[in-house]
Amino acid sequence: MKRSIRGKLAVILAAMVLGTAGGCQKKDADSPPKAQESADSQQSGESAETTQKEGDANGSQSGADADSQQSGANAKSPQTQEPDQADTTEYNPWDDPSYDPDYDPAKDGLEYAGPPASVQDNESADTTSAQSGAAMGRYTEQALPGIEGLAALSALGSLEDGTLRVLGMADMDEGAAVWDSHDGGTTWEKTYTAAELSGVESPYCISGALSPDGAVFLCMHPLASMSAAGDGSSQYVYGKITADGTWQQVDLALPDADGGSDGYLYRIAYVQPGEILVQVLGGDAIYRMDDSTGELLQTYNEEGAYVGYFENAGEILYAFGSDNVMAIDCATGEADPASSVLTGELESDSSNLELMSSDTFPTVLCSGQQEGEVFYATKDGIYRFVLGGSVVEQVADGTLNSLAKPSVQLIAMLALKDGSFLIAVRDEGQIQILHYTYDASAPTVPDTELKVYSLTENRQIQQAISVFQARNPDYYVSYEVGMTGSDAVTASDALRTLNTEIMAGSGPDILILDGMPAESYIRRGILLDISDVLQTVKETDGLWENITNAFETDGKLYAVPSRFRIPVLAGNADTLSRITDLASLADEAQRLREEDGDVPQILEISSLYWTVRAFYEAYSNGLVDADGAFQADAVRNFIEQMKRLLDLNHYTDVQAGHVYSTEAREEEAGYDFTTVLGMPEFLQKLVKLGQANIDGAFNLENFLSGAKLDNSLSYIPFRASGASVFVPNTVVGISSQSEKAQDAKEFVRFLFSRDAQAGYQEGGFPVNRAAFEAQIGVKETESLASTAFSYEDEDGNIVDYVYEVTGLADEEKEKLRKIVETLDTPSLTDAVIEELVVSQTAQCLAGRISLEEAVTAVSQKMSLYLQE
Amino acid sequence: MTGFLFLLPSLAGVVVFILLPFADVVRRSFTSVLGAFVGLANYRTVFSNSAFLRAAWNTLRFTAVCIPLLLLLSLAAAVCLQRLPKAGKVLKSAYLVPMAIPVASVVLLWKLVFLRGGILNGLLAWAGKAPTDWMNTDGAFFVLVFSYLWKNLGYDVILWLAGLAGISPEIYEAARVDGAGEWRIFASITMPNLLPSLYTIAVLSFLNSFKAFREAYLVAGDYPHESIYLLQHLFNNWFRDLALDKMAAAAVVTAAVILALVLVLQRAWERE
Repeated sequence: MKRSIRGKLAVILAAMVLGTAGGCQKKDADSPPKAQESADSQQSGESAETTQKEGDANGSQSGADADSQQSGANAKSPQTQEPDQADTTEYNPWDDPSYDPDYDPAKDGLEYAGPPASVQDNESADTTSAQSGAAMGRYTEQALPGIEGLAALSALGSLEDGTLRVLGMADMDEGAAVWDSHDGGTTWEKTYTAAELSGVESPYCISGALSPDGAVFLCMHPLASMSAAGDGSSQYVYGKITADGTWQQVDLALPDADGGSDGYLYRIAYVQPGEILVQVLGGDAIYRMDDSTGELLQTYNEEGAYVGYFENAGEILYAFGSDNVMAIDCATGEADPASSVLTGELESDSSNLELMSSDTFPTVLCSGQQEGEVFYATKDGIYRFVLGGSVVEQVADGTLNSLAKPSVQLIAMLALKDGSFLIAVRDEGQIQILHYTYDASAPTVPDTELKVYSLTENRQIQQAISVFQARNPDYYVSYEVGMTGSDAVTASDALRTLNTEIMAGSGPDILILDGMPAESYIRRGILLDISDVLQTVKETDGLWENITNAFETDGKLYAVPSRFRIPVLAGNADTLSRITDLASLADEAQRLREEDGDVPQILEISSLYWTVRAFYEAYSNGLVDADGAFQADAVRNFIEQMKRLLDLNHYTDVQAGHVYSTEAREEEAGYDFTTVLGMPEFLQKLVKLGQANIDGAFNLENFLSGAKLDNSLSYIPFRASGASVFVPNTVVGISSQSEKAQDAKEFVRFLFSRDAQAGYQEGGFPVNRAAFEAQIGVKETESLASTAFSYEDEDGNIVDYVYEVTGLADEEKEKLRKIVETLDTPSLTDAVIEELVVSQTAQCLAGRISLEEAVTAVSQKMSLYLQE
Repeated sequence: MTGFLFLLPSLAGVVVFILLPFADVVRRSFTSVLGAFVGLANYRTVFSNSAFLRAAWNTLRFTAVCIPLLLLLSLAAAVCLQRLPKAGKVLKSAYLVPMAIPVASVVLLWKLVFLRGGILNGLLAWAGKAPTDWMNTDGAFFVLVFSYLWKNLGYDVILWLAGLAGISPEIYEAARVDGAGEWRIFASITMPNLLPSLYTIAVLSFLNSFKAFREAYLVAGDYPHESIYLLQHLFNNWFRDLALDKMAAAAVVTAAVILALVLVLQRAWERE
């Protein structure tokens, strides 16, 4: 007996030792990532704390000064469109009895001493102290009334007497002009036009800079006298308008051969009165020049490291490269060590450096009122930095105002004496100047927090959130994305994390169900019935009910698509009339190939992955029958027909390498080609048929405008599996576990409203009828864009095509409406099935696996999935 | 009393992190996802769910194939190692190395050998056969078995050696003096003395067999070939679909089966 116990103990001890040794390298395959969530909540808490401190400082600073400056800080609610009621009388300290010239704020402990030592950076602040007891004070945003006649904005500045100044373009005839506002931005008047002063006709303002002493420096292009002759002399006119309004043409001594385009100044800024910094388009060096004589005083970045654009805060120059920011002290010409924390912070997010257009910038910067104070704005908000400091603090959170709105692009920024900011932006083509003022009475983070969750980033939701928050300042809508793409989280992992949160009671209030197991959630009662919300929208604007009721269960609506895409086929009208499903498409394609052996592609397929995905969306409802049973034959048919279509195309080796590589999806992951109906390819006789799941009126407008050049071209809805299919997008649901169901319903009501659905044309046609009509309502006479291309015809001649993209003709609008009315079957939205079928099909088409293997793999895995 | 106090910290940990959560799972097996009582409906659903039955069958099959094989092979190796004191030390470490290799590396090696463009297919192509993706055929099961054996052999060898070391050498000497042959010694002395160890090692190997899920998941993802679709795959997918009621019922069933097996084994060996 003893021996057996001894034996047992020995074994158990050995097992324990080995177990711990082995356990040290155990890898838990499915522990959910939690770090991201806590970092986010900490960040919002941190901004609350710093804005509070900033607010205290500002409040106390202006308390030392007179009351008239305080009025600027008491912002009105942004919902009332009244302009800022700033005192228009100029502040005169000698009239103010409370003004004490010997007053030292430090005596009262009111001097702003910078951020406290405990605040290290945005990520490590203690959230609990910020959130216990409502923290008050944040920057609220108002849009200044628009400047009449302003078509483009080049520079924003202020003069020493408080006048606000804008340099920009009036319409094309009048050209460059300067507007001034003496009342803080409420009214603007045109002070000068460059045409009047300089005598140059219709000067196109390319760029300019404003000096605080009232001078204006311009680089202009005289449109009226565009000379095609390359006689070596610069076509560009540089001039200075002095503070008293006299024009002085300046001959800038720009160095030759900058790699730039003969004097096109991309950026100009004043470094100090009388001296400007300029960057030539395409050039990397930045020149410091005298603004009256044009003399070159100094050159920065002579080595020519790539500089996309530059900003400056007084004597410190920030040159934005492709993945780095150079801070240069203009006095010495050397790198500025005091800015290292700032540049590091900017470089940490590459979207702060990425130039997306020629006249807007990802980061805008300006100097503050205090010595060494720098402010900058990105889509994440407004930040403050003191040169030589070790922190960059967030002053305003971009998600609480328009800065985070996807459609907003930044142009310029200005910090005003009263602690407020002006940021000029372009939002969907409109120039706006946004005024950010500190409101001590507004809660730092609005009272009602709504959490929105989606698996992948959805820009329509981001847009809608920005607009909703601007209209409802007491709501804070936070947006969480499950798969950001920057970490290795898969869809399954993200879903498991989400489910953990839901079961723990801290789940999101609103779910965007694209890619999620919506049916499972409905069956388990996780989603709320939102029929009442949709009823109100139905009554006011009307809804496409065949779309919104796609996932109706027991007469209730739990998951409602807010947008939809329509699979269509384009090509010769005669051919299209014979196509009824996927198999007949392949038949017709074969017939076309037999007719014409030369055309490179019959059905345009430029990427296997995207094409298979688009066809899958059109065909998928045929894979599962009415009882939910899987149809193996349907998969076989799908793969076979796709193979036929692919084999009919002739590719060059380079094209084939790209098309047949199923790895190409990673490169293209950012851009979804599946919504675009290529038009030039038809006119260039490169393809015979095209397929797309169109997501907006513009796709059709582009196609049909080009089709006017070839009357045989037309389009039909693609009934790949025989049914009238649509692809539901941005499916919205409210969690039944949410404690803020009423507030969530408010947001959902907004999501389905005309305003949220009419503007931004990504993701699909709107289900809101009014928004739909607004989108297709562009008149046939109205030109939206123009397309120009050329191709070589049979005889080798180069033929040029130019066509205007106009609105749809009335018959076309009616045709589209009829098509939408007949849509009755949603495409399968199940992400697991989609991933399975698309990947196996793509691999089979690329020749990696045989048809049988693909079908077997799909059948087997599908049956496992459906059995679960 | 002091005994209980010594036990208390560890017991508290086990209760808080294992027993209480499991009690919650048992509770959830009788309710719907949101907490409404449904009685035995979940159990009925689970037993009629073909995915669960397949996964359970696969797990059972895997265990029934692996455990006897592992026990026999590791016992043979341990007995041999015991006879070679010098070489034995080096070989012991060699047997333990597979356990130290991280799962991800094993999976990488696995893919190199068994996937479509892998080494095995290369060898077969040289012999004239067409390449196949072995992980998508029934062969996947045997690959999993092989991987399990390879990894856990060292573990069991060490355990057997500990058990063998517990047998007093005097008995062996006495037997040899009496003229017993090697096999006779093994059958009459070694085996009976190892029976208590056998129970422990069998249970430990059985529990380790569930870890084979790691390799299967990393190679083949959420939906592998049918033959290696184990219970954990099913639970993983049910959690993704928020089917917590079915998961709880299946978990209770699985735990009950394992507990029963362990108790039966204990009964069988304790009687000896």
